[in-house]
Amino acid sequence: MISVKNVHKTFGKNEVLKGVDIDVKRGEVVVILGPSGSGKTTLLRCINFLEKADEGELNIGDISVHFRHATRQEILRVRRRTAMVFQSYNLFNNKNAIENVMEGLVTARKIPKGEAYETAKKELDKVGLSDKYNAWPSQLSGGQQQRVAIARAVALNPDVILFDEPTSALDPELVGEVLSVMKSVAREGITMLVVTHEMSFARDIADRVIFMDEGAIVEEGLPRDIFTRPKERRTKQFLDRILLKDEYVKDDYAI
Amino acid sequence: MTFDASYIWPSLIAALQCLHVTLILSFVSFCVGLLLGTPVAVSRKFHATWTSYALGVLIPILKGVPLVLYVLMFNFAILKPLDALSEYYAWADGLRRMDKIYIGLVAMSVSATVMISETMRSALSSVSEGQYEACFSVGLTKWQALRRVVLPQAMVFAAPVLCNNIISLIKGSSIVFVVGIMDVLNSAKTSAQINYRFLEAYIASALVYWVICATVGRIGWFLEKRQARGVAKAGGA
Amino acid sequence: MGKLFDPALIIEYAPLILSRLPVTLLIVFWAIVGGSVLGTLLALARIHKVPFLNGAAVFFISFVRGTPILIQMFIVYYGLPLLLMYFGINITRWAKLNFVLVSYALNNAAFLAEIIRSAILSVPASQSEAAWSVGLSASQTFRRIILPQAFRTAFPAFGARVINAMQDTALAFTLGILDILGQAQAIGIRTYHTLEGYVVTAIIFIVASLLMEHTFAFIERRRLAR
Repeated sequence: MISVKNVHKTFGKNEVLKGVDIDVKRGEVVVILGPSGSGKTTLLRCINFLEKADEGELNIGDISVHFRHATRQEILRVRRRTAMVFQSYNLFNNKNAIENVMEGLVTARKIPKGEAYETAKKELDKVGLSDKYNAWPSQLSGGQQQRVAIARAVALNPDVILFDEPTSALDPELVGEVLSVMKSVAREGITMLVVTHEMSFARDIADRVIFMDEGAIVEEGLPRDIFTRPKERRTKQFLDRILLKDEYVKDDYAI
Repeated sequence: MTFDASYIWPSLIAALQCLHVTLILSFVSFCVGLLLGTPVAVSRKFHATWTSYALGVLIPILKGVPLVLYVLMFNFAILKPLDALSEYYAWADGLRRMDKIYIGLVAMSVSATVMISETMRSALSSVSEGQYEACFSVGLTKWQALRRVVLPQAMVFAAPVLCNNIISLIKGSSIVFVVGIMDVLNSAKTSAQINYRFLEAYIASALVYWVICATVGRIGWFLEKRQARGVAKAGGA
Repeated sequence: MGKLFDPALIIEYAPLILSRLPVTLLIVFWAIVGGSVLGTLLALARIHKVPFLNGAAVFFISFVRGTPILIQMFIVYYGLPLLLMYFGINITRWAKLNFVLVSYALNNAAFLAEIIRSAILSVPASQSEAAWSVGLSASQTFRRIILPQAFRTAFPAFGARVINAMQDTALAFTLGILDILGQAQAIGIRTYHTLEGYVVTAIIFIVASLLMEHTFAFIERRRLAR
């Protein structure tokens, strides 16, 4: 479905990605874990061409592009097959909830307004915001904004949705509502590539977990295997550090 | 010399008779400035082409020239060649006698374009990077992102500043008397030439400017309050 | 008549016009110094809502911001002697430049008052509370805690105002002041070559504006960052 090969990215002297390969199958939910600075967010941004990778290839459906030589048309085609959910929501501030969801449908996909409106309504209902169609981003809580952002992404019916730490900017009491929306999206069989620190999501929902450190993939596998029997020392150290903070997961797995 | 408030009245009437000239000068140049200044700002912010680099050098230079110099230079640069040509051509002679307001409009439009391009540039910068990224993530092109998301948001930010720009243009337009355009100030001054009541004439014209500028300022204040409310709400979310 | 535009004359006129630059700078200097002092007083009158003075300040600031500096200059020129005559002071023999200095200082006082006022108000109340909690007096709090923070906030607007004030000096020639533009006009009348003088003046304004802009930006980056 979507695969990247040998992604390299350097900011100045800082090599952030050192040849990353990822292959995501249709309907698969892949969670990328890793300490901050491991390059996982940069990888996601490279896939959506928000950063220009120095090296590497991207295959998505029947599109195949080289990161460095991608033309403007190719970038647009890739972006129209993908969607992204941002850490800071990034709702369009000049548009209300339903217009936020419709924007990509109407302007990018050229879907008639009436049809787009129906789709947008359906998606907002699914994330539990039936009463907020006309609310402005400034009138919504962080959790509600992020749910609109997820509806905006799902409405596009993309080949893959990229989630970039979707709960990191939220107050703790709002994390749950966003996670449960993400779970229901996953259950619909939508392909997801998720960067997150939410261990419960990785454990319960992910089909596969990838652990990244210092710009490279250290280890990947089933969540059960990664969480209980990490093969690499760095994975174990990271999990110990994170899980100490997450009491309930620690109890569950008794690491 | 004495001051007699009763002389303000005739000057005020004279000033108001030329109010339209001041309004045309400032609002037409404002519209030209908005129409040309916005693309200049967009070009400087987005396109890494030679035009945007050229504008990046040119605009800060043009910004350094006071309006009065634009007026004086355009007056000279437009009329002097016509003077020379009018010895040979009838059309040049006709053109030479044109209403000087056109010279004022050209000069003020250049100045307005420079000023408003700077306003729009900072307004564009006020829209966060995340808004562009969200546009790209749903598949909008750069142009679509600009037109549908970024510019509408930038305009909210720019509106009160644009009101200040209009005020600057209204006040600045008073300098056109140096090339003999009959605007509010010049008309009031001229009316005082029969009795030498210049102080009263200046006060009369000041009142006219004050009323217009205070009105525009009030609109700007209102827009700023509305914008501040929006920001506060966004911050509270 | 000769050539319309002779670039060689630019070089020839430049020293003549540059020799009047001190006049321009003198106006800017007094406009900003006088304007800052009076502007701070106006700002304080407004912040503390001093009876009568607050109203007078609002009126004055609105008038100055709502009318062209050109007109203000002439009102001061014709009006100030009359006003002071009531108090028995005769300034009818004052040099014209003095009227320019007074009117430009008054003009900048109004603009600077608003800059200073909003900068002072932008310092959060918690800063004063913290200062009082460690035992600072009201005036100590203002001088040592509020003013330095306000200055940092006000600095970019202050810089823009100085550049504005400099560009405004281009209007002083209408009162017959022999500043750089006045000199260019005088040369034009003498030699019939006006445009060259204007170009020299424009270049001086451009260079001065760019210099000031970059100096202020530099100071802001260096001293006020953090």
